Amino acid sequence: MPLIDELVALLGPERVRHHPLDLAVFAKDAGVTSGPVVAAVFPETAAEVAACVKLAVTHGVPIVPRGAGTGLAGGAVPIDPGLLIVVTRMNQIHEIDEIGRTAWVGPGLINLDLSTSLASRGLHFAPDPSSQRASTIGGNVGTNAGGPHCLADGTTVAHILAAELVTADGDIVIVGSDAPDLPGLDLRAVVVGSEGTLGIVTKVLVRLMQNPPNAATLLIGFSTIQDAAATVSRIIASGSIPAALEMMDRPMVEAVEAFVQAGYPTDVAAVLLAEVTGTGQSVADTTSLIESIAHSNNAASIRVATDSAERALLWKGRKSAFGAVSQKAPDYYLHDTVVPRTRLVEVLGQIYEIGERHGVEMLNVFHAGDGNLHPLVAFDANEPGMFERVRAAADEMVRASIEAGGTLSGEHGIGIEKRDLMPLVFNEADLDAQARIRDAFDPQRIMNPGKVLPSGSRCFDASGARL
Amino acid sequence: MNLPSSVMGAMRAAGLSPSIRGFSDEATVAPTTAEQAAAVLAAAAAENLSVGFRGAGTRHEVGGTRTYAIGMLSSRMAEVIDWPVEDLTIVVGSGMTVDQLEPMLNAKGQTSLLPTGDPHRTVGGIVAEGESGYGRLKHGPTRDRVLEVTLATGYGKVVRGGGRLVKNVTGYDLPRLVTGSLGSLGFIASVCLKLWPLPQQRSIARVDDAAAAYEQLYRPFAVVEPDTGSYVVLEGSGEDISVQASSIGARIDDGAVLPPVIGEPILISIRVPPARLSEARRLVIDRQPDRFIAQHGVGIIDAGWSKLALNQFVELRKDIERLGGSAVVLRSSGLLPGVDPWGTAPPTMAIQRRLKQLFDPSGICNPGKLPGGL
Amino acid sequence: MGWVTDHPPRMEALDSCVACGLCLPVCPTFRLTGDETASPRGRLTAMKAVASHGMEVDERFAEMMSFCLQCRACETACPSMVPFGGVMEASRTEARTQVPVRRDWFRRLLLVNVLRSRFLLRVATIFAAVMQRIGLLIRLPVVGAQTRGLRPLSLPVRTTAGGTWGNPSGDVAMLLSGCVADVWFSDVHKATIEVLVAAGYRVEAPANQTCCGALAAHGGFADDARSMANCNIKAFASADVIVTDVAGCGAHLKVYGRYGDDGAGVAAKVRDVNEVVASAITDGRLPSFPTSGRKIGIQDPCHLEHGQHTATAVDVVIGAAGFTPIAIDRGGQCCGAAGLYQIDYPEISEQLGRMKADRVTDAGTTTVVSANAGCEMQLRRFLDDGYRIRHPIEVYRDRMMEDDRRPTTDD
Repeated sequence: MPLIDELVALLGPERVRHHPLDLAVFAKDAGVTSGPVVAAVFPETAAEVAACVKLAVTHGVPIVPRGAGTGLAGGAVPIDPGLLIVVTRMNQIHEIDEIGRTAWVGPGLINLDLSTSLASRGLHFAPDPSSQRASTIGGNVGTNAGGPHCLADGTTVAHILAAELVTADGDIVIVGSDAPDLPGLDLRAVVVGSEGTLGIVTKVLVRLMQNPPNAATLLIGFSTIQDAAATVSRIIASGSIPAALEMMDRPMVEAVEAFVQAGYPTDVAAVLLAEVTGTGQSVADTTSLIESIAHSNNAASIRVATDSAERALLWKGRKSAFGAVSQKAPDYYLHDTVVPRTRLVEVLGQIYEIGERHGVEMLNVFHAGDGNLHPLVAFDANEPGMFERVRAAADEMVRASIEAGGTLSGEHGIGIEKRDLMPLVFNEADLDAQARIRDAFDPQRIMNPGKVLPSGSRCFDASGARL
Repeated sequence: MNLPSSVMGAMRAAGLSPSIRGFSDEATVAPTTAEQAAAVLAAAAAENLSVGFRGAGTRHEVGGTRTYAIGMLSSRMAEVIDWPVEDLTIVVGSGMTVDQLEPMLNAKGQTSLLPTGDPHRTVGGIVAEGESGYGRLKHGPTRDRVLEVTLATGYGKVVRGGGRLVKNVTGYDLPRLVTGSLGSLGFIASVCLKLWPLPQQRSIARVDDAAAAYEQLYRPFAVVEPDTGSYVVLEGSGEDISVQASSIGARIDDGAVLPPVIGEPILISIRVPPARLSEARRLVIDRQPDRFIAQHGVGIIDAGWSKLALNQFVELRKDIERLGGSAVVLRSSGLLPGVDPWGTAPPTMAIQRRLKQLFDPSGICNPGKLPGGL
Repeated sequence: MGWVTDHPPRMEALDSCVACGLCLPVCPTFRLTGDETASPRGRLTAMKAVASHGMEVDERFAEMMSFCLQCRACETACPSMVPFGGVMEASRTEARTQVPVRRDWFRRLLLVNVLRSRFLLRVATIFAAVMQRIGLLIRLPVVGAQTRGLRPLSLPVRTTAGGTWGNPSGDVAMLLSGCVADVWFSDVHKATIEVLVAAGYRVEAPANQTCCGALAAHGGFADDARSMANCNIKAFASADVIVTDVAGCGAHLKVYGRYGDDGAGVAAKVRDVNEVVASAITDGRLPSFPTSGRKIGIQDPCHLEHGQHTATAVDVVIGAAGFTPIAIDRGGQCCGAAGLYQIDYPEISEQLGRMKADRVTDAGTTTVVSANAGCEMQLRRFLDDGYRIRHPIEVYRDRMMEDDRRPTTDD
């Protein structure tokens, strides 16, 4: 029986999309690449996911998991005709442990919905990617998603204690544990960020954090980017790491302010958004410390928001940044490089220079506190030759970041987008070791093949001899 | 033992070394580079000779006592490789001990947060075991601070995973996988650690009810309950600390110190879901340990006995596993004969076995240390 | 075959979507199904597939488009400010034109012929009022269940079109009498007129106006919607301000700019009655009453919140009437009424209606105001008789005319 018919027999016609128009809709995520889809299915249990995996394996069709499709690196886009396993219907909160501060949730649960529903218990899920209003926990696990508050709390991997995983064999296993330091190898750690190449996560045990008793959000304007970046370095070096340290340059602020109307200053070269959380005294101490560092670095304006509605509005602006770019041009292309914090000013300077040289429109929004840059090029793909120019400029920006001791991705993942840039960061032995991790889980390479690692990454045989 | 000349050649090139205490039957090598270590491993793999990895040797019983044909020491890889101070990261050789590392960091207002109770322990040893210090409640486990690892694999190659950056999702997370792998995938040559600024002040307050204090406080450094009482460890400015302490009716005890490491011949690490810690604590106390240290919110109880009846231990392990945890024997000094150090193996042994096989095809790297005899 | 009508979805509107996905979580149909093809981004991708990638406007396309509630919550969430409502209406016109629709003549009869004919509306209302009185209305096939939400229909039928009220030298506020609103919600019009007169307006309901055309436009009858709009653009040309007391109509009048410069001129003068009254309260033309401490729940119609971005005006009106406004579900989901949607997708409509009713129950207020007739009916349908559901202006009017208070006949 053809794969589609078997899937329909398993899930019913409403949960299998395969009309050509459906396939066109599912061909893309939030990034710039698209790929061929055989069908998109909506299982509701781990058993259904396992059954779909087994069917796909039998038919030799690659499997690509998908959450809300907000990824920017093409992680949920098939390379060869693939079966999309969409986890959005597995969106329950199964159980909450208030004392242990953990919860078992479905991978389709929307990130922000989790924190919203925990608000009355004074808890939240710390990773807060800009897509958090839409992106799923499963997708966050897949990409090891970040967000502004990862500066203090770490990316998703630090907040996932265990996961139920459907393997390439169609087995359902649990990696990790709600107890610390589970004996054996930490498979959980490699499953997080594996972009669905090691299996499909069907249930996630998340670590929850206490909501801070006090918080202040500072919006600081600077007349030069250099002053803003120097402020970031001084804050970090001062020995107090705030909850978040974000930066936007003027073009980005203009686009964001047009949408959100939060009172972002549009007459400065850059704004720094800093958040301080903790007990009342520590918030007051750190706020005034940041204010004085900002003043000594020529801050043009400082606004301190302690009211939660005002803080939320400022954050809404920051988190709408990518979408707001369409006011400048219909398409955008961005990278996600990380550089050592002390190299921030230097690399930013190079990025502006590269943009100027290629004559492309640049906007910058980034997690300044941990050196995670998002140089973003706005362009119109309908202009002939434009995309190639944009790619060339973006590639140069990546190389500039890596030459400064940086890397390819801080939170978006590798996907298809950056896969072929991996050799800029890792040599062939390094990539071979990573390919071994993948092969331990999926020797047939049926789970989201072609992602993360460039083809030909396995270069040594088992004995270490060159293949 | 007479080793084949190919192996001896690689070992000589890497630097032969006198054996360390407790491993007198081994031929011992102390490489100075990851490449030398990889060459020895390649030669040993070709001859199917097992290699045991040694730091300070203080925790050699973790995962069970084994004898190996070759001992590989990290003692000559104890340098600071890179320390961009303002980036709050440091790259060190795995042989650096915590009493070399921490004072150096502290002098610049930084800390690695590694456990410092035993000053002789090496960074490589701690990372291989995956042990965390007292700050885990606030700052997370050691695993989250291993940013980059350089590994000489069981197939004789030097590989690097991660990067010297505080935020990085580029590729599979080799550093976290290697952390806690007990040398089963290869020899850790160096690591990059994420550092934290030292707090303005850190103080200890005595509390009546540790579990309640954990629930009430906002992100304390630690809530520790040794057999001698209950303590919370608070960080911040002096004023902030006293506000936090008084919010739970606790008083700062200037004389208090964090409990020292447990030295009893039997050392068991109890690991349970944090919500079950109080239950686990009762189960441990029922077996009358000489000492114990419970970490609230973390779910770990370290307990020491000078002697413990085998059936008592077996019962304890059964009870703890029923709580969804594990009772791991870190040290038994021969007093718990025949006991598996780990207990029930995790449910993912098929994948773990394949991983071990792919990183150590000849099975020569610290064989037998992992659960399931891997 | 691509697009075939004169007014397909505008390419630059489609291009303005960067596919970030922030619209997904606010889309009721995506939330219920988890299906990208039932999301705003998915629908835009489908439109782009037709516009640029050779896909056909086929039954699947028509189904994807008709499954949308047109609540426009996605527009509020969209940082790229994609004009989703407009491209959706255009897509529906394409779909209707290219894909044979079952009983299309009947839909046109309802959405166009009946709504623009005062005679047919009156006949239908007399019939419905009689059926309602003898208890048979709710037993009618297809629409029976929906009629539970109606107010008691008045006999004889009262209408406003053609009337003038108030100070002859005041600013001219022209009232959109509308179609069903005029005959089924005449009490709301009455309250609107009384309050506007009190604010000093001369209120006119031009006799030559017609249905705003919103339902026709939403249903894919673009040409009919245009001819209705042209009629109204003429009728309202001389107004100082054009007032609507049905959020859906107001939202549609506000996009008349798509029908040319005259349309834009009219659109610029359109205000929801809550906006007008709220500003009259703010500048002292209408009184604020001391608070009674009693709470009134505010239901935010999508076409006020997302279509007109004026939801908070209702808070001002209710607050000035002496009540504490309680937002029922601000930023929440569509109630599922959505015009003919409740007949096309009764299960979805009912699911959303029950969810909204649950939010009302959670809020703990037994009086709820809604500034949109369709939402009011949907709320009444899923809430028991212990709840009073009114238009905010009725509440304000009652308070204003305390001496003249008499039992209202609305519920």
